[in-house]
Amino acid sequence: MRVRFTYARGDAVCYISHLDIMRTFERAFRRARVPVATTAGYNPRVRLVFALPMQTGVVGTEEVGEVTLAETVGLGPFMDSVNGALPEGMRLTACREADRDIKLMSAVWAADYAIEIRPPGLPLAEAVAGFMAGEGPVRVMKRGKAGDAPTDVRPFVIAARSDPSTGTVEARLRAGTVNLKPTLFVEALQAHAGLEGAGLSGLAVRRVVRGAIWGEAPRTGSAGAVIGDAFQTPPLVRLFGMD
Amino acid sequence: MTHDFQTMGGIERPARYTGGEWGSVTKDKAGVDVRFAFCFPDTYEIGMSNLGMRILYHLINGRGDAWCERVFAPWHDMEGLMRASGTPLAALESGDPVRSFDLVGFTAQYEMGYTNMLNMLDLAGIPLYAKDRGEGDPLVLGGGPCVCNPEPIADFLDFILIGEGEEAVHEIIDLYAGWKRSGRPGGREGFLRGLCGVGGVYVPRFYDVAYDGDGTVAGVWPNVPFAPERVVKRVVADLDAAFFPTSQVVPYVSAVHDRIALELFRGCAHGCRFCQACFIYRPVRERSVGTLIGQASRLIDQTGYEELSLVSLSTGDYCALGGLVEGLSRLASRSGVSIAFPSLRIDSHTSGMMGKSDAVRRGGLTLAPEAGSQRLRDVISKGVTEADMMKSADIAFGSGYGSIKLYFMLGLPTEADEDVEAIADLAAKVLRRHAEADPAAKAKGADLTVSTSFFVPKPFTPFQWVPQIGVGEMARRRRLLKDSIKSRRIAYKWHDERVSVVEAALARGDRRLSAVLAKALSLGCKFDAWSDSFDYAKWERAFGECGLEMGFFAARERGGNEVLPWDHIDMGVGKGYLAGELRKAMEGIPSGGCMGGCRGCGAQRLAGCLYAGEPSAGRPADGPEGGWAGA
Repeated sequence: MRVRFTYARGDAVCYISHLDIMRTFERAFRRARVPVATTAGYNPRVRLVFALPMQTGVVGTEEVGEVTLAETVGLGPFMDSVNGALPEGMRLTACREADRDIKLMSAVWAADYAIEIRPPGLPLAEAVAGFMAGEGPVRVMKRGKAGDAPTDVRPFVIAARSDPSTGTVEARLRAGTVNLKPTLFVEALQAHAGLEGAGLSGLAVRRVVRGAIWGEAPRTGSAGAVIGDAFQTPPLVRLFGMD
Repeated sequence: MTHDFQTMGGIERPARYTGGEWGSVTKDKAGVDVRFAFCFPDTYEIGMSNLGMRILYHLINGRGDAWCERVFAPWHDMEGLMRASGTPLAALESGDPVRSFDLVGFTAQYEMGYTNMLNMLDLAGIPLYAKDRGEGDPLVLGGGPCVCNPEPIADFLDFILIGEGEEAVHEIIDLYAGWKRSGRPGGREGFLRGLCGVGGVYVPRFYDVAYDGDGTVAGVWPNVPFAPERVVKRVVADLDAAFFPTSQVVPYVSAVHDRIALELFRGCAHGCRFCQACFIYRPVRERSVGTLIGQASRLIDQTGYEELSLVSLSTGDYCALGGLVEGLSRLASRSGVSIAFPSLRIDSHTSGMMGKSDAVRRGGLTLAPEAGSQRLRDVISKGVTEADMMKSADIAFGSGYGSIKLYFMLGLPTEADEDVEAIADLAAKVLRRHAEADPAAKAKGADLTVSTSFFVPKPFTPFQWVPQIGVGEMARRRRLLKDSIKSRRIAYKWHDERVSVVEAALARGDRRLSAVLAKALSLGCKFDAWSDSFDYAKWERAFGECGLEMGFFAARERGGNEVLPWDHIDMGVGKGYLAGELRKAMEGIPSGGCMGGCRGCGAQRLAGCLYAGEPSAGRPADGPEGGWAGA
C-alpha cells in the first residue's frame, strides 16, 4: 500500500536538512510501529520519497511525501500514530492512498512561496509589479548542470505579488526538475530593481514559507500532444490530489 | 538573536542550535526550584554522543523540582554571530541565557576541551574565575573522567564532582534546593561548605597548593576544618540497580554515535598500563542480562533508532556475553534493529557469537594491538600476542569483514626503533592473511589502515610518573614508521604530535595551569581537539607568558617520592599498586589482568568489584599510600 501525505514543518524545525528530515520520518514510523516496506539489500531503507527537497531554513505548510507500507492500514490510525511519534513542529496534515504509479518527484511543476523581506518599507510592491510587467531577461547566477552561470530567471516565475503592509512577496515559482529557489527570485527582484533604479539594496530575507506544491494536470488530449515550450504554464493541480 | 533565514543561512548545520528533538525535555520554568545547565564543551554532534550526559540529563529531569537543559559549544561561525550581535550563550531547550541558571555543570571528557569550557563561560557572560563570581552568578561545577586531576581547571570551578554522578547529583541538587528554599544561608560559601559533606565533592577554594623551589608540588592541603584531606571518588555500588534512562534524545543532526547505547559495565580488568579509563572507572561492576534486555527493549520503542551499540571498555569481557547477545538478537530481529559491538576483543569465543547473530553488521574491523613488538606489549601489559591477532584477523576476514584498521601508540615507555619497525611488520603480516583469505582483495587497493597516536602519560595509571618523549623525537618516529611501511595497500594515518604534547602537559598539570588556560583562551585557543583549530604556537606562548614550560609537565620524569598534583584525590586504585606496576613494566613483565585473580589494586575498597577476592600470591592488597621507589 502506498500512502501519500502532506506534512507541515514549522519554524522550530525549519533548519533541519532534507536528509535529516528523511531520517526523522523513518524513525517516527518505527516509533509509531507503522509497517513500512523497505528496500532490499545490505542497508535496507524505508521506501519513502518526498516530492520536493527543501532548502534548509524554509518553513513548509503542505509538503508532499509518499511512503510504501508492507501491509494495508487504515488512513486515520496511520495519521494518528505517526503524529504521535513526530517531534514537535512536524505534523501530518492529510493522507490518502496513492494507487497509481505516479513518480512523485518528476510530477512536480511549481510551488508557492511566501517570502518575508526586511527591512519593511522598501518599495517592494513596485519592484514586484515592475518585474512582472517587464519583458527583458533578468539574469542572476544560477546553478545549472554546467556549474554556476548567469541565467534569465523570468521563465521560472509564474506569478508574483506583494503585500506592502506585511513586507511579504508571494510567488509561484517553477519547482522540481526545472527549479528556482525563492532566494534567487529575491535576487532577481533586486537585479531588476537595480536596472530600473528603484533601490532595493539592503534587502534581506527574514522568513520563507512554502505553501502548495503543484503538479501538471493530466492531459486529456491525444498521447501525442505537443508539449511545446517547457516554460509554458500548463493547467496545474495540487500534487497531493493528483492521480 | 533571532533565528532568521538570512543569518542562519550562513551557519553550518543550523539545526544544532535549535533543539526540539524527540525525547528532549521541556518544563514550566516557574514550576521548578533548580535549573541545571549541562554544558558539553564541544560541538553538538560530539556531545550528543556522550553517555554520561544522556544519563544525567534524564536523571535530573526525572525530578519534579529540577529542569536540566543542554548547552554545547557553538562552532566558530555561530560564535562569530553571537559575539557580533551580543547574544549570550543559551540553553537549547528554553533558549534562556546560561548565566540565569542555578547550576552550570561542565563535563570534562578530554583535556583539549578545557579552552572550550572557558570560552563557553565567557560567551555566557559568567566570570571565568570562581573567585570573581558573585551571589547573582550561577554555581559552576565540573565532572567527568578528566577531573580525576582537577587542578588545571580548579580555579574556574566552584566545585567538582569526582567519580560517578547517579547518586551524588541527586544529593547536590537536594542540598541546593534546600539551601535556596531556606534563603541561601551563608551565601555561595555557605552552600559550598555544605557540599563538603557530600562524598566525592571537591571544592578547590578550600584547598591551598604549596610548591617546592624546583617547581614541584609540596602539598595540597585543606585550608578549612570541614574539607576532607582526601576526596574519595564517588562510585555507584550497585550498577544493576543504578538509574539508566529509558528514553534518549534522538537528534535531527547526526551525532557521532547516533544510536541506542547500552552500558554493560564500568571499569576494566585488563589493566593496560597506559589506559586511564581502565583504572579510574574501577571497581569493575556489571549490569545483569535481564536489566540490559529490559533497557534495550524500552529504548528501541522510545527512540525508533535502527541501531543499538554496547558500551564498555572491553565488551568481550562481559560475563554473560553469550546470553546477552542471544537475548538482544531476538529483540533485534523482532524490531529490525542491528547491533554494533565496539571494543570487542575478537577470539574464538566471540567469533562464534558473531557468526550466530545475523543482526551484527559487518563493516570495518578495528584491532588495537597498541604496540608492534611483543616486548613492548608486555611493557604496557597489553595481553595480546601476535598469534592472537592473526587469529582475530583470520576470523574477521573469514566472517566477512572487508577492511581492517590497526591502532597503535608511538612513544610508549622504553620504545626503540625496532618496536616502531615492528608495527610495519605486523601490518604486513595481517595484510598477507587478508590476501590469503580473499584472493580478490589484492585488486581492491588499500584495505588496511595503520593509525597511530602518541602516548600521553595520564594520572592514575602506572605511567603517571614517566616522561613523554619530545616533539622532535615524536616526528622522527612517525617518519620512521612511514618509511618502514612498504606496501601501498597499507594506508598510514597519524595524529598531530603537538596536540599530544599539550595534552600531556594539561593532563599532569597543577593548579598553575589555570592561568595558562585563561591565557590560551585570550590568545584565541579553542576547539583544540580539532586539528583545524589547534595552534601549537599559541600554547607555547601561553605557557611562556605564565612563566611555565610545557616540558616541565609533559616531558619530565616524576621522582618516586614526588607529591603529584592529584595526590589529594583518591580514585580507588592505590599509588603503591601503580608504582609496582611501573616497576614490572620496566622489567617487561605483564600484569596479567584481574581474571587470573584479584591483583589488589585498591579499587575494591570503594565498592564490590566483580573480580575482588583474595589477592593472588605475592601481591599484597594495596592502599592509597606509597610512591614509586624505583625512580
